[in-house]
Amino acid sequence: MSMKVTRTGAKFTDIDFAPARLMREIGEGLIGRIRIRTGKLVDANGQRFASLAPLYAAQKQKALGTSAPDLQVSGRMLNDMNVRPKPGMVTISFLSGGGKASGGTFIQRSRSIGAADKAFWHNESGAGRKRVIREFFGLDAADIAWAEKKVDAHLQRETR
Amino acid sequence: MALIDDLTAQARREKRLIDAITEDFAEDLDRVVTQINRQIRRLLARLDNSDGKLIAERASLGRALALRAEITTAMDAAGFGDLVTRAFDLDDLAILTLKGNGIAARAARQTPIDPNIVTALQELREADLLAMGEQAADAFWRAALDGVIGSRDLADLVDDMADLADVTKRQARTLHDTAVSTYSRQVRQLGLPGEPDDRFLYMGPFDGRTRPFCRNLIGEVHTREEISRMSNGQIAGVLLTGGGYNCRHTFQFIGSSTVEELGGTSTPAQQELGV
Repeated sequence: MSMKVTRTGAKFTDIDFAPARLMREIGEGLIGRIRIRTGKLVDANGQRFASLAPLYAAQKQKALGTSAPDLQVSGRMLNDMNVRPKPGMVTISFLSGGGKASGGTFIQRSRSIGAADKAFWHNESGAGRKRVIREFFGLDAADIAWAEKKVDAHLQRETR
Repeated sequence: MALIDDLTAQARREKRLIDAITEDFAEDLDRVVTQINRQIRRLLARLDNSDGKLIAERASLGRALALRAEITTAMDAAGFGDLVTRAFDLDDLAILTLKGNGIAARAARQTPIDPNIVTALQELREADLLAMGEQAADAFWRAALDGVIGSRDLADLVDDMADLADVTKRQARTLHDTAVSTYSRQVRQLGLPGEPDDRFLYMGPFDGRTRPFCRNLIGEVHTREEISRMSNGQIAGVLLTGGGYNCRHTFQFIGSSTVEELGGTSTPAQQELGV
């Protein structure tokens, strides 16, 4: 018995499994997911963010009308997340760093500190006197599943 | 002419500059390296006199060293390495500090500053974003740079900008903050497809200080073409300026994803459009 096999799509070796443009789309989407999750006051481990310290919460309430620990005052930390795609990988990093709190308003004081510094305090060292960790910058299982689905969809398109 | 048209025209005129580091730009970058060296020296001095901000200072030091390495590598590659103001004595001291505690290295690794900063600074340098005129625009470029790498005291910077632009300190601070935010949005546009149907989700704080323009847009998805027709009533080019002066929001590129896929909830208008 003989069997004939016919290739219907591109050569396997010609398929670009994870081009930079796909990695960019995945990275941008992951930033979107991190931001939306953060907006729900939930960290990368599925835990609700700890409440703000009473004094800081009162300042935020007075300045912005909310004391939610949504990690947003000037918006700079989350706005400054950026992607750096390469074939097969994407890095998410921050566009600004350094600086110290300066200015007459609550928002200005927040804005004068670079994004990478604030992210490091929230994610790594802990923020405030009690060094509270609010680990917003990370991927959960759903994020990884979402990214895998994007790669699957790309492969299906390429091998069609 | 709309801001985006200005940017496009400038980019076209200055394509030569965007494609490669020129001598002119290299000289500006050399000044950046000098600023970073100054910042490193200041951070090392603060670390000598620990004032309770040790972790933050070490993290900033790690990133300043990484950023300086990125810029000097780019300048070496472009053939302008001899322009770079070296500071090896600082390097030795900084390396000792890094060895003493892994926090700086961990900060640089975990929360790095994007090396695309060099490209973005180059593009921003060519664009008179706030229509300030050539001399003022150059000064604001430097101001935005300082705001991005945190290499200079902001109060001093605002004083200088107020003098230069002949505005009040309060207005100068607004211009500074707007320039820094616009820079951020500019960087986020680098490498995107740039097609009229590119899709963006408007994101940022929703609180008592959020303006009606932003409040109405938050959570909505719009194409690049739609955004180009929007007006915030303050500054042209909504994609780069958001809701205008001091705006805290940004257009997040989402490619072909839906808001639900990203974990959010579509507005009724989005559901109607199938996004």
